[in-house]
Amino acid sequence: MAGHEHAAEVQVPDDFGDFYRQEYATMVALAYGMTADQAAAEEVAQEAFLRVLNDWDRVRAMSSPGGWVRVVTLNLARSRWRRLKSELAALARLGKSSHTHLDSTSIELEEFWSLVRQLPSRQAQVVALRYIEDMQLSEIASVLGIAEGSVKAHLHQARKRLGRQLEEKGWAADDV
Amino acid sequence: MTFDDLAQNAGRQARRIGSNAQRPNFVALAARKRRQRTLSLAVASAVGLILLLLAGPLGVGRELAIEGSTTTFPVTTTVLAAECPLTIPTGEFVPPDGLPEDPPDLYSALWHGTAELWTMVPPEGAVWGGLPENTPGVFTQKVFWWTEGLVAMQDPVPPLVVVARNLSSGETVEFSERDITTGFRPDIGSFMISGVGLGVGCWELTGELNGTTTSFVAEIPES
Repeated sequence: MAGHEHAAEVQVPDDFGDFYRQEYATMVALAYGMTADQAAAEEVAQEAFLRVLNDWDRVRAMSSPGGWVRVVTLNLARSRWRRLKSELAALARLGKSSHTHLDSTSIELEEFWSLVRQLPSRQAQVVALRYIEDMQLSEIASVLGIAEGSVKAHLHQARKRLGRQLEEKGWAADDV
Repeated sequence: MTFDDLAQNAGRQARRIGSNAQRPNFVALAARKRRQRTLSLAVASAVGLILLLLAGPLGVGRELAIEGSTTTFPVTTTVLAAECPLTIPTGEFVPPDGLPEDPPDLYSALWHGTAELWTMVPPEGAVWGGLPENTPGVFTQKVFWWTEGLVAMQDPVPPLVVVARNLSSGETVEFSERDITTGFRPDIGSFMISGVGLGVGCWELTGELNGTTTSFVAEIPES
């Protein structure tokens, strides 16, 4: 029987703690890829792990707890981005700048993730898993619970669309 | 620079951000969030109660045949669970009728379905724990549904039928008419509520309206 960390009324199983320590950075990275906002990404990752903790007995019995937390993180991040977008639009209508700026260390990368965010959900998820986690198509298929052929199609469509948009912005996307 | 160069650089950058993110003490974080959630649930329960109290006097629908349901919102589609293939919403469906792209935070869910018939499903799948057990072995829950063009005041008894099928035993339970009503809230518009009473297990719930169906799988765990 695994031990527990205690704080107030919350008990955290040791094996959950290991899972959290192992996966947290990756979930922040994935959420960042979907939101391009570091603070939002951290909040999304924390929320995803809270949901894992709430259902840990069931999640730990899954064939791939890591796959499950990835799906939850991607879903939450997508939802978060939609809300950020609404907030930014509202602020723009009011003529105010936003405190939730989209931070990125370079224009190039900001441009890339900003285009990814505008892709259909599945395409954005596939791009994030592919380029942030370096996953193979079969691994992405397993995480998202869809056929490998579908992953290939989503990635192809995403690359085509991103490539076209990047070219319009002056990128030499000659391998797309 | 090629597309792959840029994408891989962007991926590395995201990984660096993840690695540099401060990992909070999870025990303290969970305790704080739990307190916040308890407060939110109390507010949600109060909203749900007010909603039901208003529905009758205003002539908007009728009281549900199944009483005592909670105001949590179940539902989900793909399966990653060990035994119960919970539905995980993709977040791709955006409803018509001027509703937001995602349900308000209060509901902690994503839209799931089509413009003809949709519902809400938590991003991690619907596991309905802690439901009221008004009859021994039967747990009650409310499931919200929408269809394009629905006006609650004009259609208090929509022809919605909800069929729950136990994925282990094959048992089916149907809910219609006296289990269905409609309501309205400014944040989620006109909606249909189905009251369902089910036993512990893994259930596929299918809503059928005017020949269109939308399904999701939910689990009712042992208490």
